[in-house]
Amino acid sequence: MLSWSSLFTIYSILAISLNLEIGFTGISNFGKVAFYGIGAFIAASFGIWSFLLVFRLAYPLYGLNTIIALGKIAAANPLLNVTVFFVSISLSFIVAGIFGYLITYPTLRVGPAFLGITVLSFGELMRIFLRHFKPTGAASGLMGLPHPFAWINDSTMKSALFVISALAIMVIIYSFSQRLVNSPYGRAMKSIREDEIAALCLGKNVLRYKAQVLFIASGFSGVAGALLVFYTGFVSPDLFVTSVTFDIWAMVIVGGMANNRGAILGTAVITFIDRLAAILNFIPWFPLDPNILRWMITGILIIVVLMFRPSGLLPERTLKTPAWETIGLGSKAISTMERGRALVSFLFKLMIKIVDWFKAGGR
Amino acid sequence: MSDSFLGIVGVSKRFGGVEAIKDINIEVKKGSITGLIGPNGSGKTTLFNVITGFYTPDSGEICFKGSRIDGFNPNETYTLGLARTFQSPRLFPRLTMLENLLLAPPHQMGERLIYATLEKKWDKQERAIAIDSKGVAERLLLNGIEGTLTADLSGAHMKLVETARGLMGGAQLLLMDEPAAGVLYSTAREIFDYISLLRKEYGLTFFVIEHRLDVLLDYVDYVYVLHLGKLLSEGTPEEVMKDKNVIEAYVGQS
Amino acid sequence: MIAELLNTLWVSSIYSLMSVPLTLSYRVTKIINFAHISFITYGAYVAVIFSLLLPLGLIETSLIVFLVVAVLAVLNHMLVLSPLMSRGTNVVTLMIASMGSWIFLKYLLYALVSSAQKVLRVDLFYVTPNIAIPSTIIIGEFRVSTFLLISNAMNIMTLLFLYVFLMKVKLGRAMRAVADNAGLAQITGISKNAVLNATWILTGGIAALGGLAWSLSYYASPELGDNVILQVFACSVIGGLSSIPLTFAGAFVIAFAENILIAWLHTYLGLDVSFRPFISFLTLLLVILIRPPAGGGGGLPYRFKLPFRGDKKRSTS
Repeated sequence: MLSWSSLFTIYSILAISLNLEIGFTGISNFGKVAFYGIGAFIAASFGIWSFLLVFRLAYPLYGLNTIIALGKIAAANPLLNVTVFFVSISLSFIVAGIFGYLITYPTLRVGPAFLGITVLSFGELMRIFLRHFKPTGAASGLMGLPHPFAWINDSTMKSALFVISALAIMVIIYSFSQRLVNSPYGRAMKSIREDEIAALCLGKNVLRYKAQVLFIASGFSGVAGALLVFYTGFVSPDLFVTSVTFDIWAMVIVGGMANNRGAILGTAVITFIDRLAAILNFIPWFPLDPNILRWMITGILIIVVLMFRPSGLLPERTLKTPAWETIGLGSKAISTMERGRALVSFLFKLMIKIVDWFKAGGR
Repeated sequence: MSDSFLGIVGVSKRFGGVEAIKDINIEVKKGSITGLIGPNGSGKTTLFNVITGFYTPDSGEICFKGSRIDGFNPNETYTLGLARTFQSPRLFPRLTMLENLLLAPPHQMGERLIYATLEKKWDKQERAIAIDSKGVAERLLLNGIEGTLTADLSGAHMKLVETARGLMGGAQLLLMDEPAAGVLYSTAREIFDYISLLRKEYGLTFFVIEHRLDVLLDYVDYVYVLHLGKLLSEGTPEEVMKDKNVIEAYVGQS
Repeated sequence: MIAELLNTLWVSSIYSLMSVPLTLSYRVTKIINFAHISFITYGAYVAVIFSLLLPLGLIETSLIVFLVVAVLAVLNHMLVLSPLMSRGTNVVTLMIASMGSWIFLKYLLYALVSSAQKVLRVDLFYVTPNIAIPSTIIIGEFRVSTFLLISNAMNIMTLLFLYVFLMKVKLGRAMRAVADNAGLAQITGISKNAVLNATWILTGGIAALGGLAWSLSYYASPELGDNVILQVFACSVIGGLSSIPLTFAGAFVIAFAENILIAWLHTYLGLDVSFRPFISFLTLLLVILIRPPAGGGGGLPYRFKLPFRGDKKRSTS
C-alpha cells in the first residue's frame, strides 16, 4: 500500500523529531504516536471539512456520494487542492506543537522513566478518546481525503509528485534540525540532557528550552501525520497504537541518538526490515508469519544494540560551531571517515529503492 | 541593606517539620572573601540553595546589588552575576571541555531559538567567546584538552574546568561550596591563592563554604558561623576562633 | 448494583495479583519492567497449552504456570537486564531494553501459539484453559461464580505468603534491605544476585498467576497483558510503587472505578461504557502528577520543587 519511499520519509521525520527530544535534550517521549495521530486527524478533518464547506456540501462524512463528490472537486480544482494540502500541514504542525508544549510541565514533575509512562498513557487516552469522538468519525475514522495531486491524470506522476513534496518537507526538517543542533542552542539542549541542575546553574532556562523543543518536535510529528493521511486518504484512531512509538524509538536507538543522520539511517534499517517482511509474505513456504518475525527482530535488535553498541550505528558527533575553527581545532570540513559513512548509508538507501522498484513490478 | 553586595535579612526555610535555617542575617561586602563555616548539617548548603534560587525562603529577603532576588530561579540569578560552584564538579560528561566552557557566558544570541538556525547572527559572538575560553584555559594550564570529553578527564582537571567555567560566566559573586574538599593541603592553598588572585585582579567577590579551617581562615576577610540552622557567630577570623560558642559547637560535633 | 459490586471484588483480586509483583520488582530493582506484560500473558497461555496436553487440576496448573514464568522472568534478568545493569546503564535505557524483551516475547508467543494451533488443531485465541471446574458454585442460597472465589483465594494466599516471606524469612528481609539500600544490604550476607533472582522468580510467578486468573475468568489472548497493563500500572502507582498493601488498595480503587464509577457515570452523564480504560489512565496520570512515586521524582531536579514562573521577574517590594 504505502511504497517504501513514502513510509521512509514519514518515519524519518518522526525519528528526527524524537531524536531532538531524547537524543539531544533528554526528554524521553514515549507518547510520540499521540502527536503523530493529532497531526493526522487535524489534517484529515481540515482537509475534508474545508472542501465540504467551500462547496457547501452537506454532511455526512461517509457515504459513497461524499467521497465521490470530494474526488471530483479535488480533480477539478488543482489550486484549491494543493492549497488545502499545504495549509493542512501547517495546521497540523501548529496544533500538534501546542499539544507538545502542553506536556512540558509534567516533564518537570516526574523523572524520565515515569515521564515515559505518563506520555504513553496520554497517547492511549488520546486514542480511546478519538474512538468515541463523533465529529472525526469515531472508531471508523475519516475517509475520502483527496490526494493532493488528484487533479493529475497520470497515476505515476501523482505518486511521484507526492513523494517529491514529502521528501522536500523532510529535507527542510532535517536541515532545520541540523542547524538548530549545531549552534549554541543545540549546545544548551545537550547540557540539559547531561545535567539539568548544572545547566540551570549556568543560566539556562530549562523550562523554556524543553517547552520549545517539545513544541517543535511535536509539530514535526504532526507534519508526519498529515503526510500520512494525504497519502492514504483516510485516518482511523487504531492506526496510532503504542507499537508505533516503539518502532520510532527502535529507529533512533539503532541509528544513533543525538545524530540526525543516524535517525535517518535507523529509519532506513527498520523500514527495510518491515518491507522485507512484507515481501516475504508472498513466499508461501516461508515457515513463519513474516509480520511476527519482523517484530521479533525489532525487539531483539533493540536489546542487542543497547547491549553492544549503545551509541547506535552513527554515534553522536561533537557540535561543530565556528568556535572550533577559532581555537584552531580544524575546520568544519567533513572528514574522510564521515564521507565514507555518508556514502554507505546512501548506497544502502539506493539499494532499498531498487528492491522496492522491482517489487512494484518495475513501475 | 541595599548597599551591600549580597544582603540576607531574616531568611528562614523549613522542610516539613524541620527548620533548616532560621533568621539568618548575612552581609557580603563587595570585593571581599567571606567565609561560611559550621559543623555538618548546620544548613550551609541549604542557605546557598536559597540564595541561588533553588528554594524560596519562607521569610526574609535576599538582595543582590541592591535589588531583591529571593524567589528568583537559579538561571535568573546566574544572569544577574551570581554564580555557584559545587563541591564535586558538575560538568557535562558527554560534552568536550571546550563546550563546557562555551556554555558558561550568559546572554548568548545563538542560544535563542529565533537566532539559533541563523548562523550569521551569532557567529561573531561565538568566535569571541571561543577566544575568551582559550585565554582562560591557558591561564589555568588547561590547554591541549579542549577536544576531550569531560567524562574522560582526571579529577584534578575536572576541578580546574569547573573553576574555568565559573570564570567564563562573567559572574561578580561566586558562591563556592567547599572548593578545597578532598585535595592535598598544598593544593588547597593553591586554590585559595588563586581565589585571592582573582579577587585582586578581577574584583570578584567570594562567599565560600569550607570545612578546612586551617586553610580558610588565612584567606577570608570575614566569617559567619552557622550551627543547627542559626547564625552562631560572626566576625574576623581571629574573633571567631576565640569565640567560645564556636569552639563548643565544633568540639561538640565530634 | 450487586453485579457491579461482585465484579469489583472479582477484578480487584486479579489486578492485585498482577500489580503487586510489579510493585515488588520496581521496589527492589527500580526498573520499570515492560516484560511484566509478557509475564502476565504467558501465565495465561502456559495454562491454556498445558491444560490441553494433560488433564490438570487447578492446583497443578497454578504450580506449572508459576514455575514456567518464574524461569522466564529469571532468564529475562540474566540475559537482558543483568548484563546491562553491570555496565551501569541508566534506568531509562533498562526500561527500553525491557520494552525490547516485551515485544520479542509477545511475538514469540504469537509464533508459538500459531504453531501449537496447527499441531493441536484447536483454536487457541480467545480461549480459556481447559481445567475441569464448574463455573458456578452454590453457597447457601447464592449461586456464586467459582472464578471469583478462585481469584480471591489466589490473591489472599499470595498476599499472606508475601507478608510472611518479606517479614520473617531471611531472603525476604534481604529483599527489603536491597530495596531500601542496596549497598548496605550486602552486609546481610546474602548476595545481591540471589536477592534479584528471587525477586524475579516471585514477580514472574505471581504475575503469571494473575494471567491465569484472568484467563479463567474471561479468556486468554496474546494481547492480554497489553490490554490490562495500564490498569495494572495504575494500581501499582497508587501504591506508590513501594507499598504492597497500598497496591492492593489501588487494585480496589481501579476495579471500583472501572465497574461502579463507570456505571454511575453512564447512568448520570450518559458516558459510554467503553470509556472504562479512560478512567484508569486518567487516574494513573493524576496520581503520577500529583504524587510522583518514590524514585519517580527523577532525582535531583524535582526534589527541589522549582517554582518556575517563566521569565517573569519579581518586582522589588
